[in-house]
Amino acid sequence: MIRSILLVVFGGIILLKAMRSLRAMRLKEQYALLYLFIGLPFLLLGLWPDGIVHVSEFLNIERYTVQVLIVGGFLLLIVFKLTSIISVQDRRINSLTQMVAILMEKQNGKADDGGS
Amino acid sequence: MSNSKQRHLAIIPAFNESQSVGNVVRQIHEEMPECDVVVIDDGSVDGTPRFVPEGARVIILPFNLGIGGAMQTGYRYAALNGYDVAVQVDADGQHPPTQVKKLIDELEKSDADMVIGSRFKKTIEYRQTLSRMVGIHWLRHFTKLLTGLWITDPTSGFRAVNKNVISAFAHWYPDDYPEPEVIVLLHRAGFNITEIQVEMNQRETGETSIPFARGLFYVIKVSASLVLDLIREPWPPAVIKHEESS
Repeated sequence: MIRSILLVVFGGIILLKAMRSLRAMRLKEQYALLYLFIGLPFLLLGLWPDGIVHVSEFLNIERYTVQVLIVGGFLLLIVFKLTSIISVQDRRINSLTQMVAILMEKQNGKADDGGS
Repeated sequence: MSNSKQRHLAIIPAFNESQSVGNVVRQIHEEMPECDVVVIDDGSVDGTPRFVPEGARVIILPFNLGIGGAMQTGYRYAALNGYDVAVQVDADGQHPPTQVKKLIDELEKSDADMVIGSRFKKTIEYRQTLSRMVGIHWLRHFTKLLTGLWITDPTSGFRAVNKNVISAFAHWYPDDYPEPEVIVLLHRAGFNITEIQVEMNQRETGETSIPFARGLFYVIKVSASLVLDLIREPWPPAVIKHEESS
């Protein structure tokens, strides 16, 4: 019973947090969807704990702990995806910063020339 | 001798170098009046831009991008303004302006795309801490292993590059350990790299960007990055031009 409550609370918090961040424009839609897909299984398992047994039987996994490894692998993939996105964004921010700084210098140079 | 038709740019990345940047710029102007100077203020909090003398351009980055980001800003500026040669000069006074001219002359008379100013090509009089000496010695041999090039001072930031390399660096420049990484990446892209002995001053002010205690960790991380550089393809073929600069 406690396990179910914990899972429901955990899944609910993830979903709630994702939805609130989406509404406040602090999270892009694609990432909100990501958290939706992560949070929903927790909610479902919390409401229906025996579901894990059925999933295990369906996937022919004898030991439940193997599923934990699968979840771990899934989370690693998500982290990989996110770090890839961060790397691209980081490069774009750097480029933008550099170009803005160069343009500002050019603008200041023009102002100085006009003033002299 | 320098080709007078060529446009030269000294790029000075500066992070909290208010005490020395003025002298460095003035000395370059006195020694090489024909060489333009751009200071890249990398998010300094000590008012560094205010200490840059008249006649030099100052590009103020709104926050610290690190040495790689600051240098790439300079190369972008050089590419956008059609410079033929760009020289990286430290703002801390380590690189004497007389030696800037020496680098440019070597670049123009040789077939090299990048000339590195080495402290150790002929002499080892430059004072170093033991850990730094060991680190440079390791990187020297590791670079040789990866590229076949014997570069005595792979961490030297004192370098001159031609228009083709300016174009490549404007497109992409390593963030983390640019000095040694650039050697491997340029070599792989087919650029020629050479090295000449230069005199360097000890730092006038400020602190080194690689503190003593982190030396070993630095070498390990740089070595790993150099191995990764064997996989990376940062410059598309369209960006890499090996023809003679006009």
